[in-house]
Amino acid sequence: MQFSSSGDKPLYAVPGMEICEQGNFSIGSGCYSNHSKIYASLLGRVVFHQVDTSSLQVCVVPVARTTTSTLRRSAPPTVGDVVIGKVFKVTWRAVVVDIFGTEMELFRYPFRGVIRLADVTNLKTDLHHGFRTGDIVRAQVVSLGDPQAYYLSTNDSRFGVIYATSNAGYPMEPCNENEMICTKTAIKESRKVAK
Amino acid sequence: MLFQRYGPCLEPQSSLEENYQRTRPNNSLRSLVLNTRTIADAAGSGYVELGRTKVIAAVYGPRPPLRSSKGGVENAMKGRLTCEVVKSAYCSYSCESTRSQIGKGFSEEERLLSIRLVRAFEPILLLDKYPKCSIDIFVVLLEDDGSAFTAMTLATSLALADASIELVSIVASATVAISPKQEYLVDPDKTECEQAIALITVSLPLHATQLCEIYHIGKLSAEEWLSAVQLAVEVAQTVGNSMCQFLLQEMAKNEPSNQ
Repeated sequence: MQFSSSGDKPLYAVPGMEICEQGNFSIGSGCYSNHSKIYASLLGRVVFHQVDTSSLQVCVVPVARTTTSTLRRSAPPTVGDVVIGKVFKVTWRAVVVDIFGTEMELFRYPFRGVIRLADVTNLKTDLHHGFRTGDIVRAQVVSLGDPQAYYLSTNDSRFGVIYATSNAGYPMEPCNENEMICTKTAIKESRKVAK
Repeated sequence: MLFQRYGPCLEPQSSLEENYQRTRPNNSLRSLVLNTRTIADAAGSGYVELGRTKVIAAVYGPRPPLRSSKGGVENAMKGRLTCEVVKSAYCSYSCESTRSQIGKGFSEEERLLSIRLVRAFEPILLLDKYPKCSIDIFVVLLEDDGSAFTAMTLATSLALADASIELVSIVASATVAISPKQEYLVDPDKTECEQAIALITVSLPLHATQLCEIYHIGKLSAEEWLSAVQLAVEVAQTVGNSMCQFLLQEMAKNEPSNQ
């Protein structure tokens, strides 16, 4: 349940504006607390969410913009997001992926992700049998990783290669969990295929 | 005199030093114009006019850092703030050029302004909420008629709020000049800045209890310094309140009416 402050006029907040005393409120996005008071940190509307029967969560929701900057998502991927990327490099222990979007929307800036050997299941052989440069993969973000890349995982049957081109240059279709077949030459190649 | 001017002087007659008269009261600001969303491509942008001083600021981010920072994992877990200030080629009224070579890199003054902006805003942004990301601020000084850094701080504040970057507070700023006649001139323009014996610029986050930057150039006694800073803080508070009112009005205007 979501309701704005008392009255029909919405409560707008400026960064630094005091919203309320800490009390029973928990802090959501767009606020911070200092000396048992809750302040807004974003420019937007103050919204109170009912988290459970006793407590309310305070959030500040920025006003939606309709300019070019909302055509793509500018916020970076968070842990648990399912992202889509293109394989950039395959080494013996990691697959480096250029993340360009989630399933719903594209990112404004490409991020770098890495699928490490431990995060790819069912592969007793090396990563070259699961991924090749240029494949499009679907993976899940497991952690923020190191300063160079996010850590991704294809540990589930949902995740893995969703599109690839064969050595002959034609697109491939999945035939089972571990193989894809080229549409033109009917040669099978092994990939970690997503369902 | 803080600054000595050399070279040909092609300003309009009215701003030559000997004939200069301040037309407004010592305590008053020049006309303030604020605007946001002027740059469509940027995450947020702000435009400020203080009298004839004009500044535009754009904020991009949070985005992956363009230059990978050194310093390991701990530094990467916090966001990074970078800033580039550019003084446009037509910003000053005289035709002397402060760049040693036009079009090559940043001049020393621009680098100094960039560092000051970064240092002023670094405690203001909640950078912990943007790990492994960089927030980039680009500021262009379009016309410099005194109090340029004040206008830059205001424009950057507007741009950051417009970009929905989490801030501790909105930052406002004010400049006070002490004239040779020992008067405190609020929001000096270029001639007053150059004639002044001291200049104090103060940046303060509105809803916090500390200043984020004091910039002082010139020679002042301790009591004069204190009263100048207090005056600047009061002026910055009024400017900041106008900025907050402006931002609230813009939000109310842009909200769809059925909410």
